[in-house]
Amino acid sequence: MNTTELTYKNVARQMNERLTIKDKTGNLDLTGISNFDTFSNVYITCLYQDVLMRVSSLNIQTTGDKSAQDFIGIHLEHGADSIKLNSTSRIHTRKTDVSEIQERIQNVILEHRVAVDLEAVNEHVPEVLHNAKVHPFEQFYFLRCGFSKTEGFFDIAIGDFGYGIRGTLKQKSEYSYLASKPHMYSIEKSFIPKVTSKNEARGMGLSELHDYFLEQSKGVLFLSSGDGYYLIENDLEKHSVTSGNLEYNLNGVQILLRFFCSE
Amino acid sequence: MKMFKLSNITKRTTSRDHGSDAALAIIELLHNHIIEKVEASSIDGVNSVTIHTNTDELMIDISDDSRPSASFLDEIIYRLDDKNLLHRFRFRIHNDRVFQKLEKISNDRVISININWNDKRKTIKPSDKPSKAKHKIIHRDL
Repeated sequence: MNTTELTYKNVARQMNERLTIKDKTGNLDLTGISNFDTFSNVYITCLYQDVLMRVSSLNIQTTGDKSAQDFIGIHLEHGADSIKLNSTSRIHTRKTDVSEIQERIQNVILEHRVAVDLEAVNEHVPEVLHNAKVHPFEQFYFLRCGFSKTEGFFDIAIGDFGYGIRGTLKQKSEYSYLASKPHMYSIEKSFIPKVTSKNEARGMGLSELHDYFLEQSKGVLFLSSGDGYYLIENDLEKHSVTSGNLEYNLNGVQILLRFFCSE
Repeated sequence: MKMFKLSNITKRTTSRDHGSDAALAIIELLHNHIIEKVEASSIDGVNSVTIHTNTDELMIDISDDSRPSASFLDEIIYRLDDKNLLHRFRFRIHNDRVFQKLEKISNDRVISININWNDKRKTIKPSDKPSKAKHKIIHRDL
């Protein structure tokens, strides 16, 4: 039997093929999936919550000993204390401070002796957390940390299913033209300094995050919003920045920060 | 020198908020002609700056062991520039990392920043070089 491993690169395409909605009944076929990365889990969790708002029932098929809970954060713990390695947490935007989450992520890194640049994590992750806190339509977002000792990276994935980047930017008159353009243009725009729906002092966080990953010899920044994505993928052999359309259109913003460990 | 702790005047938590509150504190101190130490502590290390008076300009000293985040510095610079006060300040810096952060802020905000590095005075000016954000993007659907 063919098995599929879900990654940030194929999860949208896979969900487009595996999710059907007919007469207010959803069907999500997760059979044959052998594994998933940190981002995929957060993406599917956001998708699950998004679909639940549009259907009266959602059936999920899995293979053998796997259950839906293995793929989707369904029964989630809340708050900063729930943040553990390989576990998806549901974070209340109003009840949890960015600093609490940041401190907990730092503790996870220290507990598991992950040799990443802690200063960089502490500098850039709060910007993403702050965005997730102020932008989502719902009052919570999802967060998951993953660590691959063999491949030497630490993943932080954060996702919501709110207005998304295009929905947020278009509220400002100078960016209203983005409403009629594919999501990928809004995402690209959001990485330019001072592009924000808020006042001029803002709009620097994503730009700083972007430039940090651009400068790394190894690292991944993947951001999806609607049916658009943006990817900075650096390793020793190639440095690339790609942007484009995804096959599934998921509300909100989902982001992966992959920090590589020092040798 | 009397210590002025930002933690006494803010309950906010992000580095950017600390930068904003530090800038407001600096502006207030300036208006009251009382220049003291402004210190912001956050859990991402210590965002710390010390303000010194001089005969003709004000020095914001970022000590070598301080690791201020880019957003903290950006917010201070933005706020001072917004009040037309930035030209009165000079940032004393001690390491490459802080220099690079100030260089990026200068480019992104298109403003000049006076610095003192290794006791040499200079001004970081916005670069004519294209921003890193304008690198080549390959379009490909996934």
